Order: sequence, then structure tokens, then C-alpha cells
Amino acid sequence: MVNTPQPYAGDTKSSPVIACIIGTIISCILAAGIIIAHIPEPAPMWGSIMWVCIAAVLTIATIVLILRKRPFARKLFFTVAKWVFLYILVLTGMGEYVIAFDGTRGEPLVVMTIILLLFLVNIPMLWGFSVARHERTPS
Amino acid sequence: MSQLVGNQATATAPKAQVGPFVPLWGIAVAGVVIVALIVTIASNSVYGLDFFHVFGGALWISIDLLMGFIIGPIMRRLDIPARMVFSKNLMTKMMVVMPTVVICTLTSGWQLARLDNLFTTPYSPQHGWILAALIVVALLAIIAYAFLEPANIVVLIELRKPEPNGLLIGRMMQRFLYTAGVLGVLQLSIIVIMVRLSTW
Repeated sequence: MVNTPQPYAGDTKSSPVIACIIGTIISCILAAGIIIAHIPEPAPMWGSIMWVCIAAVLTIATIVLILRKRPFARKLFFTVAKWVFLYILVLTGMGEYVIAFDGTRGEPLVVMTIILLLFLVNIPMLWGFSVARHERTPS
Repeated sequence: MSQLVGNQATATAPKAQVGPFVPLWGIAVAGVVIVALIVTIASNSVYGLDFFHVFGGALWISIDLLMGFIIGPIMRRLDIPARMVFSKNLMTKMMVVMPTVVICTLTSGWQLARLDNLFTTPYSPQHGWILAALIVVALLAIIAYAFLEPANIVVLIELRKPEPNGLLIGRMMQRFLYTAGVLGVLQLSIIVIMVRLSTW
């Protein structure tokens, strides 16, 4: 009996990295949503801080999972991620400019800045990983 | 089906390419637009903010609807070589156009809501509609960032290789076209919300 090699359709397994990053994005949106929903009243910050902490933990988990992934096309990952980082830097920079321009200060400004920083880290990782996971590298 | 699409795509794909991924002149134009947006926000110009929000929003919704309901179905019926050439040319330009349009629409819209006192009137009737708009935008962002754009980039990177993986391209193109359709449906709800807010 001859085994014919199956054509490679990319990495079709569900990935914990993708799940963690989508979880981070949803947590960040919930954290920002709590602040925005209470405008113009001051928002209770504990809810936003809780979601930001969850997002931060998920981000650390994502970084660890990517670092431990073998085999993995790291060169391609960083090639894609660095350009996406530039794009998200412009996007989050505009966001920070608008928030600061509107006179947001204190805790809400700190939380919103952390949310934008988490976006800045996670979106390049998501796009870089989405491309690099399909690359076949020698194990 | 994905395999068939992929095999034909591989056969018709040009050989490995080098050079910029997106058109450089497009990045220059996008830079000028962003600087103009920053100046408009800093000067609190209602006309300028209205211009950026209406123009950007109209472009964003039109492009999403066009992609989801017109270009997507047409692409599924095109010959594979024609589909590959078309999508390659379209997607590289869309990667410059869409981020710029999204930044302009969202930031100018936020500033307009602030200038129209929609944030300072406690629990105005419009407050719920603005929140609804933000929820739809959040859904759009999750779908676009998590599914649509990664699929787009995978296809573009594969097409630049000397031997593209046809099966992978086929899978990613299917995903891209389906998510574009979902975004189109979400954009219809944004139209309903924005018309309600503007006719209050």
C-alpha cells in the first residue's frame, strides 16, 4: 500500500494563540465600552480595570505561546508584524490624540492608554501569527 | 472546491515578486489626509469634521457593501486567472484606502458627537443610539481585524512566492468573501443608526 502525501492546506487546527488575542480584543472593547457608556458621568473604574487586567494576562499568555511554538516561521512573523505595528501605531496615536484633546485626564486616560497599548501589541501579533502559522518550516 | 481554486490560482500566479507590498504613492496620500484630519480636529472646525465624517463614512459603507454584495458574488463567478489578477490589484490598494477611511470616519465622528454635546447631556435619547453605533463598530473591528485582514494578507503573501500554496489561497479567499458579506450586513445597521441620529 502506497501512502500519497496529502496536499498542505495550511495550519487548519484551532489555535490557542488566536483565541487569546480575540479574547484580548473583546476585553479591551468591554473596558473602553464601560467608560464610554457612562459619559458624561464618571465611570466606575473597577469594571474597566478588571477587563484591562484580563486583557493583559491574555497578552502575556499569547507572547508565551508564540515563543514556545515550534516549528514556527519567526522571520515571516516579524516581517508582517513590524509593518502592521506601524499601521496600528498611526491608528492608536490618533486615538490617544483625540482622547487627550477632549480633556480626558486621570484614571480614564490611563486605562484608555493601556487599552490602546494592548491593541498596539496584539493586532501585529495576530496578523503576523495568522500568516506565519501556515508556513512550513523544518522542525 | 478550495483545491480547484487553489490549483488554478497557483498555475496562473506570477513568479515571486519583490518590492513594496502596497503602493507608496498611496501611503503618501494617506499621510496628507491624516495630517489634514489632525489640523481639523485641533481647529474644532465643524464643517471640516462633518466633511471627514460624511465623506469617510460614505466611502467605508459603500466599499463594504460593494465588496460584500456585488464584487464578492462577481468574483466567485470569474475565471480563476481573472479572479487572481483582480483581487491582487484590488487588495493592495484596499490595504491603504480602508485604514485611512476608518481612521477619518471614527475620529471625526467622535469629535462631532462631542461638539454636538451628545456626551455632555446626561442620558439624552440619542445616547442609546450612539452606544448602538459603537457596539456595531466594535463588531466590525473584531471581524475585520481577526478574520478578514489576516486572510487578505495570507493571500497576498502567498501570491508573491515563487510557488504559491494554491489550496491555502483557495481557503483564505473563501473566508475573505464570507466575512466581507457579514461586514456588509453590519454596515446596513450602521446606516439605520446614522439616519436616525441625523434626523432627530
